[in-house]
Amino acid sequence: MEFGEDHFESLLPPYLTSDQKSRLKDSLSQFSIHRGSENSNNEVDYNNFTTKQHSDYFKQSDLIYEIRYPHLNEETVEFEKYYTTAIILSNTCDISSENLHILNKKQSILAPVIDLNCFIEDLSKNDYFTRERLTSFLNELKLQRITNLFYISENNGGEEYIALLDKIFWFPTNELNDYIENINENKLFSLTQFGYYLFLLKLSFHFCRFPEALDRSV
Amino acid sequence: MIPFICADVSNSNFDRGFSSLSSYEERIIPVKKEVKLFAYWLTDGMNPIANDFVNDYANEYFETQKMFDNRQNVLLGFSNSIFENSRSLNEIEEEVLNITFFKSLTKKPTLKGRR
Repeated sequence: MEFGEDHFESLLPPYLTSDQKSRLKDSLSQFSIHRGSENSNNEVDYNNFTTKQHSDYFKQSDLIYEIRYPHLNEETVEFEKYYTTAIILSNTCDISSENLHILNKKQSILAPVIDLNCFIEDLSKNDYFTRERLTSFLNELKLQRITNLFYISENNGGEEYIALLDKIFWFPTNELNDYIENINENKLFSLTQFGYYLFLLKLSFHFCRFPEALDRSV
Repeated sequence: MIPFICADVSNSNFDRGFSSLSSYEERIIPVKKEVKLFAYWLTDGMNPIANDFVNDYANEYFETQKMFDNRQNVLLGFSNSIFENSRSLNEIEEEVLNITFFKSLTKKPTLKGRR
């Protein structure tokens, strides 16, 4: 299915105006290889990608500070306790404190997030990364072409991060919701409609790839 | 008391598997062919009158599921279209990423309430 006209609006919530839907479509179409709105610098416009708007609950794709993370020590083969910034992968309703599950309670699924500048610094120290290779790599990253990395820009020119989608982990939802009391201290920011939809598309691609190129017939 | 309802849905449209979908913590799960549909929900109660329940509630639920399936298909289709030129990290990129990631982890949190 091409990124096009036919079904796109069926993905979007009805409360968006047609102007908002149109802007969202334009923003997302930057990532299609068939895109027509590519600017001359081949740069992606990440304007209006994140928001610091206050909310009283955590949402899917919010970035949270200092979440406990079980890091596997490959030498001892034991998990060690660390803390990382993380992005929420779980559905908002699954982790809502208002969703009073009696059974089958959903825990929160998150992915670690790192500062892109730190990554660039480490890449630059490696002889393999000539200036051309580094530029090319960052370009691919910003076009979201690296399957297991989700690039996050705090709007154009702001801080940049990457979420590591192959290092996901779970965290107790009750404990996460305890942080709501000081949500402004605990949350970096949320993704806007544009950021959130791109995140969903990236997650879909990362976990559900068509075609799988694998014959599963018996 | 937790209400538990078992409904035999004779409409052949429902003779297909579909998994949980809910913002109200309701579930409809096909269990076996003869029973076709099992329904239970955990946080709400109702007094089901058989015909009303089968025709209205289940139909509404099936429509919701159909809409959900369509949205999922579109979502997957678009994401595959958008990212079809994607690639994985090469060995060197991955090695550097792991170094950066480990350096980013902290042992001692600074925010209140961390355990």
